[in-house]
Amino acid sequence: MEKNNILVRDLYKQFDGFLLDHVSFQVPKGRIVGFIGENGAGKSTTINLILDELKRDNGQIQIFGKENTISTVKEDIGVVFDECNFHDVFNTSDIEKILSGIYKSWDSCLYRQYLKRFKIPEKKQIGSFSKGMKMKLSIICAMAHKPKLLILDEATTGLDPVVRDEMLDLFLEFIQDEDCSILFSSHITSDIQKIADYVILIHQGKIIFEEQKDDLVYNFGIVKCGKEKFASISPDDYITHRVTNVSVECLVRDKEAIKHKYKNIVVDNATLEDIMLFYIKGGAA
Amino acid sequence: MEIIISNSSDKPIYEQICMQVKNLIMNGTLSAGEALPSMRALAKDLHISVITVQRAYEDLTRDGFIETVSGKGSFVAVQNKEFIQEEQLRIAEELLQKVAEIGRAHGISYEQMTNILKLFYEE
Amino acid sequence: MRGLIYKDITIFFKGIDKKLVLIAAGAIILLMVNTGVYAGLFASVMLAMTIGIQNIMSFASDEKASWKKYQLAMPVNAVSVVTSKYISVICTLAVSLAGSVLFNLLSSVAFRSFNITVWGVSTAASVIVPLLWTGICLPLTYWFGFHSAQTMGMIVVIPMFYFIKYFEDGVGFSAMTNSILSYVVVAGIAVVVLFIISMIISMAGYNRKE
Repeated sequence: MEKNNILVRDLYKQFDGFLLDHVSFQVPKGRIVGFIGENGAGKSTTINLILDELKRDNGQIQIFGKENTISTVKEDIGVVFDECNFHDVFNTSDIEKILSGIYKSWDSCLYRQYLKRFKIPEKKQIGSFSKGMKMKLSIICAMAHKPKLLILDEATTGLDPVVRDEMLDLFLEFIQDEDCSILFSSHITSDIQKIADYVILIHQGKIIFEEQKDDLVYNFGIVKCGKEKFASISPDDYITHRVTNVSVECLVRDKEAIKHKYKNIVVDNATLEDIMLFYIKGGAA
Repeated sequence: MEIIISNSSDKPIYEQICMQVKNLIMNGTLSAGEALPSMRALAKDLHISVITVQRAYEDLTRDGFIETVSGKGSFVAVQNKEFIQEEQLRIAEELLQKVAEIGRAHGISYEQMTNILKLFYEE
Repeated sequence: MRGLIYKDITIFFKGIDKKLVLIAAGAIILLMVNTGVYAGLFASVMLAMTIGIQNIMSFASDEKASWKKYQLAMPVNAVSVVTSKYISVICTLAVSLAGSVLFNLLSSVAFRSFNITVWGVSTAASVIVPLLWTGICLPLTYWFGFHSAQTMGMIVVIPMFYFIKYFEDGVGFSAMTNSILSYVVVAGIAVVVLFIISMIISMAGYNRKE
């Protein structure tokens, strides 16, 4: 039985001035995969290729075990982009008539429940909505047809922290069903840190790492020491380092092991953002 | 069920969860047959990944403290009454060993000690 | 597919361009006043052109909302997308026909003349003109984007105005006889065939990806 909702193998796509180079990863059932990277790193390109919006040059993409080019596969995918893709003149009833005529498993009851829960006005044209409300509506629409896979491309960017928190809660509710998955691309690493099970970092079209979120957040650490102390640290014990005006900082994989091995050393917790910056800006490992 | 985890502790998160659930079961806060929160629900409440909770639940199952029924969830194992008893007997033995050491070191007789113990049993 | 048809029809009606309506209304009034007995015919043609333009304009709102990107993530293929667009165009013909009947009624009442030829040609025009217009501009939109269709639309407007001018001068109509109706039937069939071919070309255009 298929255990991955998305399987990407050796994805290759060349544009003018950008190359997506042999990208491979999976999104297992029942898991949230966070996709982080700078703007222009290739997150949206990868998602567009998964959704068959762009043609890949080479490589394999499977969704629910089938080729991603089969359009019926999208019956079970909910997509949210960074903007609301509905015309300003529509209201929530228009949108329901449109989407219920497209998705076989559209659930009217669920849709209305969500609208009520998030206080989305029902007779107003959506052109008059705030950005936060439009995004809430987009997310509701993606979920109301009960998909098995949710693909979010910068779906929380531009939302205030309160709305973002509400949306993250909604995603966690969605994933209670062990058949469902979420692929969540964002450059707001704190959102990914909150809900992801796995984190993939992409940089300049290449996957830099694919790790468990809890390992990254709870085991990784940052060593802070002087130049002399740094010289005594074996290169096998850290991933990458950077030199500041006042110290040397190293990203380490297992902060407890480092604390035991090197006594009297400062090892701080690392946030996902710290880790991302170390990998992108730090020296080669 | 109350669980507190700390990311400044030197114990890995899954171990912290494991230990705390074991304690809750042993001190009776969680009774036999009681349902544990689903892995996903606990993950959501603790703001950690479900993978870590899964590992903790797997360890608890391996050690006989909980049982997982496919499709229904995880429950405090019924037969762990014996576990608890063994565990408590072990604790009692350790305490009695200390009592004996104190008695021998300070000249308190065996009869005196057993009388005190008898009084406590009859309370 | 019915979801997409609903979407296109809703945009057509809710997204009616106010500027377009004003220009069309102005032109229709001018025509009705100036063309005497044939007022009904000219007004019909004007309305039919407006319907044709409005159908293409809905692509502008698609582009503004980034709809195509969202649509590509839906379980719909080129056939259903394009077919539903073309069906929605056919649905809007109802407006064109209704308008044509209304204008001819007004004209007949005002001038107390009932000319079956004029009525027949008006009705035919109200159906043929939007089909012709969208039949040419839709494939362009699907292949080259909305702006090229807009440009093409502007270009086609010019001969239309010459056509109207020609008939306004009165010469044209006196040459019309009852046999024109058979020409109209032929034109009608030709437009339907064009419409179908246009649909196929549009589907190929929709499928093109980077």
